[in-house]
Amino acid sequence: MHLQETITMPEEKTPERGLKSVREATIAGDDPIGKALRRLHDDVVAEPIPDEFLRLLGEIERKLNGAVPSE
Amino acid sequence: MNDPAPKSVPLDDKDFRDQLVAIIPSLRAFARGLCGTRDMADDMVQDAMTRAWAARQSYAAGSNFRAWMFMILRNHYYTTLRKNARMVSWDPEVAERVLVAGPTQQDGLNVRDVQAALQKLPAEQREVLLLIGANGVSYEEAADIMGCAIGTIKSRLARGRVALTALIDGPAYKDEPSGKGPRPPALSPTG
Repeated sequence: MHLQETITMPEEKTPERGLKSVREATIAGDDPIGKALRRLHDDVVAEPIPDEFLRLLGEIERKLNGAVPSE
Repeated sequence: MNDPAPKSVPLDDKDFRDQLVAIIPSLRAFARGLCGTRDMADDMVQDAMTRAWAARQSYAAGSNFRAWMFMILRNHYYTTLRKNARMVSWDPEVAERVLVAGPTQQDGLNVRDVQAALQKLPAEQREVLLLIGANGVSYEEAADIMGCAIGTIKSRLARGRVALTALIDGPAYKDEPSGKGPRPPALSPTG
């Protein structure tokens, strides 16, 4: 892995030619850490939105409907 | 009836609400990664949504809604973190309940291991790993969200990666080591 050399370079002076930036390394499809982080994200995103959120939105909705137009 | 349309205006309330709805899944994912537990994360997201709704006049239509929301969420997270020192310590029993046990991942790191390891990192490193690694935001957007320089984002990401790798490669995680070269140093609690 080129990771070690990438991350020990001072950012300001890294020309980033050829060498992957840390971000690119992290979001690359074959990066184990990046993959695990994305799976963490995707698993939550795939969950149905819990009821308490819908209740909160319902409150907002009520305020919207009850609101007197300001004009 | 029609509003004159000035250059920079708040969103219409209905549009604002729609944006809020659309971003709930991303907010929940970000908060889950930050907090480590579902209940705490969802509470935090709801608080952030309530705050955002109250502050909706300060959001300029057309600007980056995700960055604005993430910023509210992470500011709330840090405020809560400061108030409640318990949040910084990782509780393995809680961790057990964090993630629904999915099928064993043959092809990579165990998500649960990564979630556990994330909770041991300094919050700033955890945050930047989540924003960039999980959400895929750019350095620029991460810098906006976290209110710091891009160089800071880059070094936090780099340090976070090293620390996370060290934690995962530790005794708990048995997989082929990356081969040559020394292991990354043990986690050093630098901000």
